[in-house]
Amino acid sequence: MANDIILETESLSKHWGGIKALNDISLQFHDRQLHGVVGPNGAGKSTLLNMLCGTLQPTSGCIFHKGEQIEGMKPWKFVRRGIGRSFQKTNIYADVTCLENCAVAAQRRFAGSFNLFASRHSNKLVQEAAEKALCQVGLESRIQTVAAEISYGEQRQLELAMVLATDPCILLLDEPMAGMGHEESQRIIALLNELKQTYCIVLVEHDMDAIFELSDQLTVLDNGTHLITGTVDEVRNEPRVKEAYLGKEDEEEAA
Amino acid sequence: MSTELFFVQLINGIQYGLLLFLIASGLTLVFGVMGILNLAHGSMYMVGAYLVWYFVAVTGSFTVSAILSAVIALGLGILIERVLIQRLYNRNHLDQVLLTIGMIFVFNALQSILWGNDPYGVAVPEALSGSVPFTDNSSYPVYRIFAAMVCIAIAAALYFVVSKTRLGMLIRAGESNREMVEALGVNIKSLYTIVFAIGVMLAAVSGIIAAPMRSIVPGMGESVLITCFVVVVIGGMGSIKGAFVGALLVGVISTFAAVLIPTMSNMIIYIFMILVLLVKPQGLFAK
Amino acid sequence: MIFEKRTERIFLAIFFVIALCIPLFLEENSFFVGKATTILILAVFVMSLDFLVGRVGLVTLGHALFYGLGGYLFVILTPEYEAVNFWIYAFYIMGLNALIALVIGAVVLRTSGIYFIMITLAISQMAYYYFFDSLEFGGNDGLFIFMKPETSIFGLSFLNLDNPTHFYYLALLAVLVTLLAIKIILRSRFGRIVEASRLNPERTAALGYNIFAFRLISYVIGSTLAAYAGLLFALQYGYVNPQFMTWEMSGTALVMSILGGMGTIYGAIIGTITYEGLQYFFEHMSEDWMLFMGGAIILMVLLLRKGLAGYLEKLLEK
Repeated sequence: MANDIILETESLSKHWGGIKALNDISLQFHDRQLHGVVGPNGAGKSTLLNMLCGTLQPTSGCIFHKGEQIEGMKPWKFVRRGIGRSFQKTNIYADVTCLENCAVAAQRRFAGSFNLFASRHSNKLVQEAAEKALCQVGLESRIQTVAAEISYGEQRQLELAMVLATDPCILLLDEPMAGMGHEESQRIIALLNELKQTYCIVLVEHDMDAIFELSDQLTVLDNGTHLITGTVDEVRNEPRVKEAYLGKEDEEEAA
Repeated sequence: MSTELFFVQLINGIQYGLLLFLIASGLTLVFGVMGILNLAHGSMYMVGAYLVWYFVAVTGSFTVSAILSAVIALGLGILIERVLIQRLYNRNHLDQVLLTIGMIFVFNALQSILWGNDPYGVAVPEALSGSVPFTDNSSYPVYRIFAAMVCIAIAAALYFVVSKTRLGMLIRAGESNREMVEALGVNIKSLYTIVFAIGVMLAAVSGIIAAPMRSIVPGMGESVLITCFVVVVIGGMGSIKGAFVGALLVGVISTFAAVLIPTMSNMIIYIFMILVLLVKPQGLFAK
Repeated sequence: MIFEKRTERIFLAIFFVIALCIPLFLEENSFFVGKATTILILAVFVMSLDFLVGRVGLVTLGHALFYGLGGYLFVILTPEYEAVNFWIYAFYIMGLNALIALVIGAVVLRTSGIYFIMITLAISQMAYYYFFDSLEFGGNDGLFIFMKPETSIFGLSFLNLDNPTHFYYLALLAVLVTLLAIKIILRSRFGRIVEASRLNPERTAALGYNIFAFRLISYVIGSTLAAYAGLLFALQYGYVNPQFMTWEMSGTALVMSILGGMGTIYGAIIGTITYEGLQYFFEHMSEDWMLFMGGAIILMVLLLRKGLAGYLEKLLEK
């Protein structure tokens, strides 16, 4: 079953002077699929995500969204196209409620933000969208709680809720389960299983169990190069992948 | 402009710049290492000038007065750091602004109480009061050359301390990574006291040196403070090298501006600062 | 509601009740009415600064530039011996000032942090020296305002600006309007994004908002409110001079704002009254009032971490 290709990179590269962070990456991301991206440290995963959401400009290569070329555009244009991104390091508004966090995210969809007079609480659609996003990730009980007072795992969920509140079509998730305990991770896995039926998800994670369980397609990066893309089984059996990971372990043992 | 006038103004500008560097280096050192913006820094300059005037009136000797004033300023710096500045370390920039403005009030009031509001002057010391013949027609005051030499000597000493000594290493380390310095087993509190005291000394010494060259009046601290800020911002906050370059630029530009475009001369350094910031928003030698 | 904190509501209620009655009790003493008027005008200036620094997150040391412009624009735009209409000219002045603030803001908002502080300081210093060195604007002596404007609306005139009591109520009205305007803006959809930009600029940008635009609009609003305050001050005393736009003026306003409790807006009123009150008290007590003033400021920084409003809130909020 081929879903539409909603996001695509063509020979994408990023060089910092002599250092090649990413070299000649061509990938295709399909709608309503979860596409995992893994690789040893320094493989270029975060760099890839940063370019897919427009924060970083590629040195060469193209990015296509629904067939249109978007690399080089300002980051807010990426957001407006529905490309949402969550951060590896929790980046929320700590001093306000969870609801307000998501309301800020949602406001752009429904209401003119240059309105100097209308009370921020007056637009019901913004309120509802924020509440819906919080319920989607399982934070109904925390709607009125100040974000700084919820647990770390709940903050990661809030991070996810904020992206959902922007009504994206593509979710770029940077280690959403970082630092979570087992039970919390299970909850996120269940959520992502549900979400991938609606959104295109690009998931960078170190939690291999989650990756194997969720990924419809899996890409392995190593040292900035694209090693392989395929189904979970295809990738697990690929000798080069084992080499890339095990090779790193040998290096560390020898050191 | 004749070549003669050009060179005289150039030397004037450099000498003024060197003096500015002395004051500015203290400000930028304290900010770079401790993260403290000390608005009362100009008051230290004023304190140096008033102290040397007072002691010259009492003892008659410039040398003795200069040394005495410098020592008192050092003690003052240590006292202020221990009693007040220490409480600012975990507070934000605005609280620092407020507290140091309060200090300005206190120092201005003390100046008025102790020494009154009349303008004072310090005579150029006998040994340095001559002029060096420059061309057939003009000569240049010896004291100004002496002042410039002292500034260069202190600048060299500062450079030596910061780059070659253990204290300097701690200063450089403390600027970028406070935790690392603490992990090295260094008492960061003492380091900060020393750095702040050095900063105060630099300002006070420049006030001492400048005293024979200008009138000692209330408010002299504030006018020098603003120029100091411009120097530090142009050079890059926290960079002593930047303060040096910035000070020389400001010194030379404002001296020439006063001669060439007197109606705009007050504005010129601000225009220059804005231009620098538009091109290099962090200053010329930003960290 | 726009006044969310109990402390805020209590303070403002008491403040406005007392303020409304002051001229009634001090009818004979126009000096005190005048002093109170000046405090109210300063409060408008400080509230506009508190808005910019405390809520938008733009720490500016050049706010007095617009305070001075309010006065200078009046003198520049109006004929010397003619009483113009106050409302029309206030509108012109604020409009012109908004344009100037737009241009300045577009330049300075490209910097941030300590560099923003310095560049705003530099621009106000430049303006100060421009007026200081200028002949046509009276240099350091400034210019006099010979005729106070008249205040008719559609032919109906009820305020005589030469009357200290009338002027007082005009200033009080300005405080009320400024307070309401700022509070409404902060509560609005615009205010939500402005607050978000201050709390976490990176996150807000990542959500697709153009932070520069929000800050620029806020800067124009804050600066224009300051200009209105400057206009009132110039009209009250009948002159304008470069001392209106010194960095000491900006610095003093900052002190009042921090003293009152930065970001609370109503704290700006508290801070202004306290500072002016302390200065008046110390000045009459001793020639060396600056000593006590400085000492009081230092003590307040060390003991009242969130300013006077913060202290009151600690007492009154549950």
